[in-house]
Amino acid sequence: MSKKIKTPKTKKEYSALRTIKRLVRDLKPIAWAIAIAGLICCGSVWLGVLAPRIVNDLTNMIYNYGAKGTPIDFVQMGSLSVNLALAYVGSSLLSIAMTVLMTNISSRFFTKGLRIRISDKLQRLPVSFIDSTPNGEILSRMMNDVSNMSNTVYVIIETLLNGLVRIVVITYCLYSINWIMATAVVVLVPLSIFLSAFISSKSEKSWHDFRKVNGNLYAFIEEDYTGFDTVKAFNLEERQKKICDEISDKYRAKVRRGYYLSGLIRPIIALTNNIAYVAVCIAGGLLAINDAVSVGDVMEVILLAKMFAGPLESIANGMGSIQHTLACANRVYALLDREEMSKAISGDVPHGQGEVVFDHVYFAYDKDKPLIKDLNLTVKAGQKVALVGPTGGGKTTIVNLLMRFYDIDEGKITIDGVDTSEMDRAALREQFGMVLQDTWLFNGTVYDNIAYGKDDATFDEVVEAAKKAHADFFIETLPQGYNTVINEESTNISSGQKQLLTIARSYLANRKMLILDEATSNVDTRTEILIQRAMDELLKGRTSFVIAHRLSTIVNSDVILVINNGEVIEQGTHKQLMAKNGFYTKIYNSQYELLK
Amino acid sequence: MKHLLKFIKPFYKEIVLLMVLYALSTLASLFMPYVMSNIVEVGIKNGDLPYVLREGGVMIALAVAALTCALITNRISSNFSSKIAVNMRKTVFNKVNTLTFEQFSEIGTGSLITRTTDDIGWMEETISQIPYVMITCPIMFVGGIALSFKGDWALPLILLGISVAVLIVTTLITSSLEKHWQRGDEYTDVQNRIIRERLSGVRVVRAFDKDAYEHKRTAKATDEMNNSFVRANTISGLVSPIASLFLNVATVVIIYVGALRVQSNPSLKAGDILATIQYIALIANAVLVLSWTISFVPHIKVSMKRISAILDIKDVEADNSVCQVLKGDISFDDVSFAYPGSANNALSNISLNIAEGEIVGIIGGTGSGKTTLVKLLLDFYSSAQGIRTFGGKNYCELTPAIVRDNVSVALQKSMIFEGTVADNVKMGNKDATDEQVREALRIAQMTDFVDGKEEGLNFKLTQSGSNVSGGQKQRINIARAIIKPASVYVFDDSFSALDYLTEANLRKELNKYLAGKTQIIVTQRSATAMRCDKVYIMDNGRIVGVGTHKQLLNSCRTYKEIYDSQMGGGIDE
Repeated sequence: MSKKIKTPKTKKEYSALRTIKRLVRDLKPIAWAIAIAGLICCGSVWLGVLAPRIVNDLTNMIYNYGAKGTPIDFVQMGSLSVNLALAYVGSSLLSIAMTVLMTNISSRFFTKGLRIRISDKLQRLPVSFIDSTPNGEILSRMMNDVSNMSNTVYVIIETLLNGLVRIVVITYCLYSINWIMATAVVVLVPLSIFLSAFISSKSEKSWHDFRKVNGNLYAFIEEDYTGFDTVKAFNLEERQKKICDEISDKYRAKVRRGYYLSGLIRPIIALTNNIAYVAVCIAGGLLAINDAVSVGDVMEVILLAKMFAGPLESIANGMGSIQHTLACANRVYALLDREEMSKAISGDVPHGQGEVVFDHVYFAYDKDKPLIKDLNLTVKAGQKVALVGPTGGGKTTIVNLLMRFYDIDEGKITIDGVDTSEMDRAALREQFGMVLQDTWLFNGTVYDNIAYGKDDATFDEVVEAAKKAHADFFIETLPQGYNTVINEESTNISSGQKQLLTIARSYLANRKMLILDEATSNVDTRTEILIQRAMDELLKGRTSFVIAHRLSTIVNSDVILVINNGEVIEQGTHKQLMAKNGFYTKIYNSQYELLK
Repeated sequence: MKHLLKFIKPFYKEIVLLMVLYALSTLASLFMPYVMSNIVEVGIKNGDLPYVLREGGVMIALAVAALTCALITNRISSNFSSKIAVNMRKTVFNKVNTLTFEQFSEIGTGSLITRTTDDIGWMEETISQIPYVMITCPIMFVGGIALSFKGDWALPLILLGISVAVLIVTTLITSSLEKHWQRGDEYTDVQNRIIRERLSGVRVVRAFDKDAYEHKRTAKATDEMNNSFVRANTISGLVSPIASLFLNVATVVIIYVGALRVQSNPSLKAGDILATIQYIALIANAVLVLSWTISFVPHIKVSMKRISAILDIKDVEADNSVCQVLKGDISFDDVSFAYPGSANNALSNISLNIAEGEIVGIIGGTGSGKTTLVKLLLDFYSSAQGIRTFGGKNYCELTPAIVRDNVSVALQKSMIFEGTVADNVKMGNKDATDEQVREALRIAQMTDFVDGKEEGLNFKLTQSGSNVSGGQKQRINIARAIIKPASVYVFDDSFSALDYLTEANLRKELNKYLAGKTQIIVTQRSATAMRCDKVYIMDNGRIVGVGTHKQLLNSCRTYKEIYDSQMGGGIDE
């Protein structure tokens, strides 16, 4: 975390100029490679224009034999041919070198560099941002947007270096042969660039519209297939067909226009090339009749004119996609600029037994809707705190604040007297073990998933933890035991077993405080009893915060916090709260209400 | 490929026209160097000025002809390739919606989605290229070589030899590409997965201070992905320079051999050699386009195979049955069922009897078979053994559509479709009035939610309901279920995300609204089950107990275990 933390730039407008400047700055580390590419490119262009010149001489020798009967000097012819071959080979080798260099540099340094910077950034983004941004969006910035950016960077470098150098050098060569023929070729360049850039910017716009409709269509199809049983259960096939037809027709209109406009570029460039070709033939023919130029000169101009087409096309394409790229770059930079978590102030580490104090704590996710108002709570070391209340009421908010996934707005939370907001986040989180209802396992072995709790865990420690969590029994029955790989959707073990693995993970981590989000009873009865037992044992002697779904676990808690609409509305032991005959009593009794 | 032809067939007129136009435009560009050689040989040599101008005019005509053809073909091809792809997608989509659950799950949701979206999208991108390549490349190839025969036989042979060599070399180069792309794609998946894991598990990652570790994992995947793509890009970047190297060397050879042949063959003119040199450039283009297309072919084949697999699935007989209103009695007699491809029974020897108007609970843990039971009730699968009846009629005599007309369900997986709240509720009954929608939402305890939104019933729900909570999704699904007129209502774990208080209110209203109708309530919570007239306990695909809450507490050990673990302690009745 050596990087300086930037001021927030969340809503800042990213102007095109600023983005371009930034892109250029990001390209600085590969400036040396671009310079080498530039040199290679000059060499390649030089050899490239040398070849038509030799063809010029060769053509004249052959033509003069036919037209004037001049005998062909085969010694000279041979050496010229060898030179020509060498020029071609050299030029090809250089352009191969250029391709290899540029692909390697642009993807190894630029693309990969940006992706790694994003990954690095993810470490420092606050949980609030990750919570509020769909995973798919972050992913698409990291993958698609970066890809698009680097494609264009590649095109821009290619265009600037190769294209511009070529255009300048070829123009010079053309004029050194004959200004009339040269003008015939050169005059058409701006016209061709202008026309194709115009069309490609139009087509880019229609592709932009297309991407939107395309997104809708894909989302609709995904929705239908994932909701297949709902579609079937409600006989919705006709309805879905109608919607699909509607979106498809919109899609078709956009895609047709996109293809049509993009398809125009090729014939237009071909036309300008052809016009240049015809102009050179006519002008060259007339000039050659008057002996102002040789037939070889005409041939050289024709070959040079052909070398013009390539860079023109890449410039046209590059211009068209530039807007799209800037949009991608903006999204990527906006992510990289996101406000990061604040850093530790004092770096104190609590050394007590785990006493937690909430002191006049205020918090709101949304400034307009204060959620936690003046929460005061003292939890003595080893006590068990239960958080109860309706779903969505804010029970997890307390956990979010305790772990500093979110920062409180006012007041303070202390652990053994140390203000958590002044602690290093990692040090704070080392105080807590956590078992969440939403069990999180990654695509790795059972062993790795348990060992996640402790960096340098030994095999024995892992097995010991599994035993304490009552997980060893089922692990032994898995095909590869501890080395069984949990698949991507974690479907090869049951949800109860997942829960046991996360408990084992917490055993291994052995923290002095615990946060438990109880599983809703979505597991079979026997596993549920195991989980209950494992959790109870894990809680022993540790300060713990339990988000309770089961009423049985509430009863023996040291403190029960009743949370509704984000507010702690009641606080006390089971007996005290029942005596109060308030909201808690109502929840508690609601499960029996219909029985009466 | 027969499916592809079926989609292309309606456009055969356009395609024929397209091919003719491509051919004309190709010929026009081929004849330009030919005319140019005439200018050199006749015009310049004889100093014939008007000839040069006349031939120049011919060239302009050719250029305009080529442009006109290209413009028309562009219009036609963008029109028909988009149409083919859209027709294909509509057909595939509608086909998928007619599949039975057995057929659907055989391919799987994820794969069906990519087949309908990306695979067809890919076809769409490439399909417009096919006629162009099919016509242009051979004409360039054959035409270029044939035209250079005009003066001498040696030059076209050289041209032919080198062109074939280029074709072979580029095919060899591109053949290794597929492997690298594939590896790159695999690593992309790995990287996506890691990032998704990191984001979804951000709390766990942070709690164990594993950010640095996760970053390292990501970086490694990025590195591997990158290596594959760099390899692929480098190789594909080599195609063009290597091909042009070959063809440039051909130029040298042709000039040298041309110089030799000019002396021995009086019919070979300098202009012919110049024209041949230019054919090389034209052929070079054709070869490049061709080799690119060849590298696409395996990909197209794979996509088409995947699409065909859907279209090849046997159609289920069309369901033309007339609506029937069935009574809400349901009975299962010794029903057993195994999912297709599975050796183990998901349900074994299930017997149950539900009378019209009863409120029946079905309780059990995950994997106990509750949802499978619901699926059989809805006739999602027809391959179950044993006898199932609905309203006294055997399921064999009924079609799935009739069954589903008479039963309404709130499924376990709460499904929200993109659209307004009203749209989502009306999926249960498309003729429902706003009043009825409001009433259904009121019973589902969603009035506060709807009233709290400025747009009310027209509040937009985003895809998969990401802008509402799990409990709200469940309640919208409940509203959708109850607005549909039916004799049996099934709630599959529909109250799990609701707190006890909300559930109690909802159930009270539900019992009033659905009075006299059969209710089947599937749950994992004993608090939910104990309010039913009768409860079936399921464990491991079997019914292990039936009775009222009180009876079961005394007679069924599994029920008592569930009850104790959820409600145990502090509760005495």
